[in-house]
Amino acid sequence: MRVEGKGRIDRGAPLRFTFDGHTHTGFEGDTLASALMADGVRLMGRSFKYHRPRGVTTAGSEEPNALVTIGSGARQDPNIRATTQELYDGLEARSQNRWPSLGFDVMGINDLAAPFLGAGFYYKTFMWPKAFWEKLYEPVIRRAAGIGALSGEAPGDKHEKAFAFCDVLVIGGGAAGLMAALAAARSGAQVILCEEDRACGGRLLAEVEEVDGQPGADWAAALEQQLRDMENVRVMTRCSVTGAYDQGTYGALERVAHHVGDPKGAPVECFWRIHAKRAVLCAGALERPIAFRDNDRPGVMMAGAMRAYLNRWGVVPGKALAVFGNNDNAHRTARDLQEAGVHVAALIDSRADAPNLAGDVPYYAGAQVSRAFGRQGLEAIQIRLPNGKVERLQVQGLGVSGGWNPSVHLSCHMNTRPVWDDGIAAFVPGKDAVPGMSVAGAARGRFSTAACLQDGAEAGQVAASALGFVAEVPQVPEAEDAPYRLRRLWTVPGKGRAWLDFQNDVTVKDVTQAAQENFRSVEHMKRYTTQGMAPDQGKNSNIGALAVLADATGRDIPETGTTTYRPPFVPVSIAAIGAGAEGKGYAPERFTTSHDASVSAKAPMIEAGLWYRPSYVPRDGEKTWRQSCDREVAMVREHVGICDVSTLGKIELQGPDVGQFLDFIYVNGFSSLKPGKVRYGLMLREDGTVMDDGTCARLDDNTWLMTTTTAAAGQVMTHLDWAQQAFCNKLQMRFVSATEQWAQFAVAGPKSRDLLNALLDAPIDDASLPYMGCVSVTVGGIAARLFRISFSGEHAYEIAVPARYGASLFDHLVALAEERGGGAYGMEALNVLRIEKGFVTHAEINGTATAFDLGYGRMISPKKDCIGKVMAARPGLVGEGRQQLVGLRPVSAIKEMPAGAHLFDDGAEPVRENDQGYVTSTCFSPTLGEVRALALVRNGRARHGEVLRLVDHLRGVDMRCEVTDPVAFDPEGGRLRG
Amino acid sequence: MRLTCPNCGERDIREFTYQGAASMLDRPDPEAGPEAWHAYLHLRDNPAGVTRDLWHHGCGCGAWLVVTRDTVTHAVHAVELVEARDAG
Amino acid sequence: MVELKAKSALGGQSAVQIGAVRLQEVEGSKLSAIAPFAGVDAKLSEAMELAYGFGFPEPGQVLQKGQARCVWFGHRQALLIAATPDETLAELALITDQSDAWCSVSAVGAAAEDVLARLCPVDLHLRAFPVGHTARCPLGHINVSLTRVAADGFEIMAFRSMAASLWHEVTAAAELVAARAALP
Repeated sequence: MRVEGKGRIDRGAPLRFTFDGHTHTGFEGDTLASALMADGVRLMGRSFKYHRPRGVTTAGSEEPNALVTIGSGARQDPNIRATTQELYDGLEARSQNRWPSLGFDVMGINDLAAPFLGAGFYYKTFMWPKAFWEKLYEPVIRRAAGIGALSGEAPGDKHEKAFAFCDVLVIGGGAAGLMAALAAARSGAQVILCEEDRACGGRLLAEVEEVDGQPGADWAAALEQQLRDMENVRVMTRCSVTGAYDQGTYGALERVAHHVGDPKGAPVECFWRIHAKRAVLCAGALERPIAFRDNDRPGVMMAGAMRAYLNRWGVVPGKALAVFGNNDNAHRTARDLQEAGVHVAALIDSRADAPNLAGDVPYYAGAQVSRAFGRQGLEAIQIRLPNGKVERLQVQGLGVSGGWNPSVHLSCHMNTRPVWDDGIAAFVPGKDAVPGMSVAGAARGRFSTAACLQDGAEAGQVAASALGFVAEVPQVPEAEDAPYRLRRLWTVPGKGRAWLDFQNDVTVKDVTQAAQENFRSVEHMKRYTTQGMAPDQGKNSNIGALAVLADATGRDIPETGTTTYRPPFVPVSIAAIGAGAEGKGYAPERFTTSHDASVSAKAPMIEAGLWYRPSYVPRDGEKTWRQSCDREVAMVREHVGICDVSTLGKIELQGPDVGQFLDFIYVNGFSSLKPGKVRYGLMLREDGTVMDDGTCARLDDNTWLMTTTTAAAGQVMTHLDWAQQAFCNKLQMRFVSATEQWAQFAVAGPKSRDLLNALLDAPIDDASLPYMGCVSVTVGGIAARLFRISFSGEHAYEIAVPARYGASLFDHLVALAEERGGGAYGMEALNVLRIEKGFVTHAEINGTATAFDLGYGRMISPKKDCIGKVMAARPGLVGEGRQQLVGLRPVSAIKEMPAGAHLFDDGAEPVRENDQGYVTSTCFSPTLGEVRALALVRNGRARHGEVLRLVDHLRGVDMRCEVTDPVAFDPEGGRLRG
Repeated sequence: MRLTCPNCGERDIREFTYQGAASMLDRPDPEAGPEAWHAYLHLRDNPAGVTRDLWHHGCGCGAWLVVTRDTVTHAVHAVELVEARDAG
Repeated sequence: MVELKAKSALGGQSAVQIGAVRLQEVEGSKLSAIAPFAGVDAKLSEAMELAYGFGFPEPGQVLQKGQARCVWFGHRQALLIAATPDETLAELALITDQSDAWCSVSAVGAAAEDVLARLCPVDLHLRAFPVGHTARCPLGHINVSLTRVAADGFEIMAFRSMAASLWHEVTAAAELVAARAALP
C-alpha cells in the first residue's frame, strides 16, 4: 500500500500494467515490484524446487524471488527481476514456475514432500536404472523445477554491442562513486561512470538523510547532472558492470530500452566492452538475511529494502510491520516507518545491550524472530524473548537485517579471494585484487555516507593522479556518519526449515547435512546443495551459508573460505553478448565481380570460405544439377568454358630477392624462373606436410605473382608474413595481397584461344604465349594480364583485369563463349574436370598428406633449403606405410564411390584395423562415362591395378574398385599444349 | 586481454592470433640432425610463470610479435616485433 | 574492339542519411601500395619527399600535400592516394596498383563516432584518434583501414569483395544509434 507524502514517484503520471492478467496502476518512477506492493500484491513468484510462495525480498538486482516474465512471443523476456523492471504504460508481466496459477500451484506438493527432497536427493534417488535419467527423470525434474522460459521464437528485439574507452571507470554511482567520478573528472581525465539504477545516488535514493544540507537524493541528482555536463565524463545509467578482465577490460550491460513499451527499433540492451586505464569499484553493499523458521514467507524482506520501498517509492507491504536486526542500521527502517506514520509493531534487536535508535516503537532488545506464519503472505511472527518465552505478533511485513556484505564480486573476477573483516563480519576485497582497480566506499566496508563520500573522493583522486593527471580531492560535503555496530547472528535456532538461499531453496539443514555427508569444502557444499547457483549467484545467501558450514565443520569463516566469484555480476542475455553476430553480421560475405551475373543466371551459390561461387549455371530443360554439370564439363572439353577464379589468393611480390625468398617458401626452385613464365609450386609447413599449392608467375624481372588456393589464401599470406619477418627480413623484397585488385577468369577449352583473339586488342599465338607463359595484354584499351595455365587439363588461360572491369569482362567472355558452343561453368564442373585430371585440392591436401604422398616428392629440390624440407624427409613421412594418392574406378555392379568411404583389401573385414585409406574426391566423369574418384591409399602407387573393397558405413555402400593412376584423362597432357 | 602492438598501440585480444612458442624463431640448421629438429618442432615448456610466445596481429597491421607474459598473473611484460630480430 | 565498363565496389549505392550520420561510397582515387625493402626506409622517405612533398608515414599517420596523401596501411606498408607512383621509388620499395582492391565508405556527422564505436574496438575519441590519424582494425568481422578525415568524419576502407557486408554493418549500426537517440 502507498504511504502518503513519501516516495520519489510522479503521482501525476499514472501507468497501467498487468500482472498475471490483472490490471494494476502504478506511477512514473515505480518499479514493477513497488507498484505491485502498492496494490497489496505480496505473492510474486514460486520457488525453484519446492514451489513455495515467494514475495519480493530486496529492492535491487540481487533479488532472488520476484522473478517474472515480461512480454510474450518474440518479445518474451523471462526471469526479469521485478525489483529492477521500471514500470511503463502497458507493461505485461507474468509470474513463473507455477501451474495453473500463482495462487494455486499444483507443484506446491513438492513442499509437502520436502523431508525427502533435501540436499542430494536427486543424486541419491535417480541413480537407477541408468537409462531412465535422460529419458524420464531429467525431463520431469526440469519441468517441475525451473524458472522462466523462452518463447522459442527468434528474439523480436534488437541488441547491440559497443566499445568504450576511458582513463578512469567508476563502477557504481552512489555516494562513493559520484565523488570518485567528480575527483577524476575535475583533473581532466576521461571518466565513465556506470550506474545500474535509472539514476545515480545508490542508497541515498532509499534513505532519509541529508548531504550538504539537502536531501541526499537531491544532492546526488545535482551532482549527476554536473557530471553529465562535463565534456570528459560519460554517465551511463541503467548500466551494470558485469565483469573485470585482463588489462583493464570490463564488461557492462546497459539496459537501453527495457523501460519503454515499444523500443521503436532501438536496442533493448547494449553489451559494452569498456577499456579503462584505472577503475574505482564503488559497488556498495548488499544486505543479508537472518535464517529462521519459514523466513521465506511473502512479506519478509530485507530491512534496507523495506526502507527503500518506503522512502523511494512510498510503499509498504502491509498495515502493521516489524523490523528484526543485529545492527544499528536496521533501526533506521523502524524509525523511517514510524516517522512516516506507518504502524511499527515491533523492533527486534538480537543485541541485548543495543539502545533503541528508532524512537517511539515497541522495542525488543536481546530478542529474536524465531518463526514466520502465513502461507501465501506473512500474517504473524513469533518473537523469542531473552527469557526464552515466545510472543506472537500480527504483522504483514517484516524487515530483516543480518548486516551488510560489501559487493566484492568484481574484485574477485581475476581470481583473487576476498579477505575476512572481523569488524563487520564480512568479506572485503583483497588488496590489489584487480590490477588498476581500487575499491571505495561500502564495497570495502566503509558504511556511513560520510565515509563513502570521503573514500570515493580520495580513490578518484588517486586513480587520476596515477595516470599523470593533476587531481585534487574535492571538498567532501557533510553527511551522516553513524556507527554500524553489528553483532553477528546468522540463524535463529529452532525446529522447521530456515531458509538460506531463497532462489535455490536451500535451508540451514541442507547445509549442515552436506557437512555431515562430508561435503565440507565450500565448493563441494555449493554443488551438493545448489546454494549460490542460479541468477542471483548467492548474493543474498553466500555468507550465511558459509557461516552455517563453518559452524557445522568446526572452523571459522575465513578458514572455510568462499566459493569463486565469476562474471557476470548480473545475468546477461546471450543476445546481448552475441549482438551484431546474428544474421549477416555473423560473417562477412565476399562477392566476386561476376556474382550478380551468376545470380541472374539462376546459379545456386555455394560458400567457399567467405566467398560465394556458382555451383553450376542451369540452362532451360535441365532438371538436376548433374545434367548442368555434365553439360558444363563437356562444354569445356569440346568448346570453351568461363569460370570466375578471382577467389584464388593472389600475392604480388617485388624486389631483387624475390627468387631467393620463393626458393625458401616452395619446395621447388623459383629463382631460375624466367620473366614471362609460370611455374607450379608446392609449399610445406615446417613439419613436412603440404600447406598449399598453386602457380607463381614472373611478370617481369622485378615482379612476381603467386596464386594460392581459395581455401588457404589467408593462411598462406600469414605464412609468408612469418617467413619474411622471422627469417628473411634482410632480403630486398616485399609482397602485398593483390586478390582484390584483379578480377580473374579461366577461359578453358579447345576454343579458348579463338575466343581470346576475338576479345584482345592484339591476338596471341603459341609463340607469343606458350603453355605456362604469361603476358601483358589489353582489352578495349584496358591493361590486363594473361596466363596460359590450366586446372582442367584443356588448352586454357586465365585473364585478369582490374576489378572494376570484372563484371563487364565476364559478360563479354560468356557471350563470346556461348557463340562458340560454350558458356559459364561452376564449381561442380570445375571439380569434375580436375578429378579427371588427378589435380589435387584441399580434399587431398588434408593436413597430413606430404609431398611424397601426393606424388610430388621429386619436386623437392635437393639444391636448397626450404620450409618443411628437413621434416619431409623424416622416417615415417615417406615410404610404403604412407597413404598415397591414387585414382579409383568401379569394377562391381555398384558404381558409387562416395567421398569419405574407406578402402580395404578385397575380402577383408571392413573394420578400422584393416583400413587401407579413404576416398578424398569423387565425381561422375561424363568424359569417361563412369564414376571416378581420387583416394589416399596405403602404398597406393605400387598397387595400380589392384582391386580393393570400398565401404561407406554411413551411406550403406559396399563395392569393389580398381586402383589406378590419379590421372584418368589425357595422361600425356597433349590437350594442354594443343 | 590486451596487447600493445609496437605499430598500433594497445589493442583488444580479438585482433591477434596466438601462434605458439617464440622458440619457433630459433630454426635449426638443415644439417642439425633429427633430435634438434624434433625439439624445435615438438618439445615445449609449459611454465607457470613467464613465457614468450608468438602472436600475429592479423586484424591489425599484420606484424608478427613476440609477447613476453606471465601465465599466472596474466601480466604482459613486453611485446616486440619479430622483424626487429637480427635474422637472415 | 570490346568496351569494358567500370563499376564501383558498391555499384552505384546512393548516399544515405541515418540519424546524425551520412554514409557514402567514396570513389575514383588512384591507390598504390608502397612497402619499403629492408634497410632503405630513410632513403625511401627522402625519395618520397622529393616526389610528393611528404615522406613515408609513421604507424597511424596520414601525410598529405594538396590532393596527394599517404596513409599508413600496416606493418611497414602505406597506401599512396591520388598520386602517380614515381619511378624513382621502384628500386627502394614494392609499389603496386591497388585502385580496384578497396571499397571506401565515408561516415560523416555528429553520430559517426558513436556508430563506429559499435563496430571497431579502438578508441575513437578525438583526443586518442585525431584528424589525420589512421588505424588498421576490425569493423565487426571485417578488417578495415579507418582514417579520421574530420572532427566528425571517418573514411573506412575494406576489401572490395566485402563492400556489401561493410555497407550492411555500418548502416545497421547507424540505425540502432539513431533509434536509441529517439528514446525517452
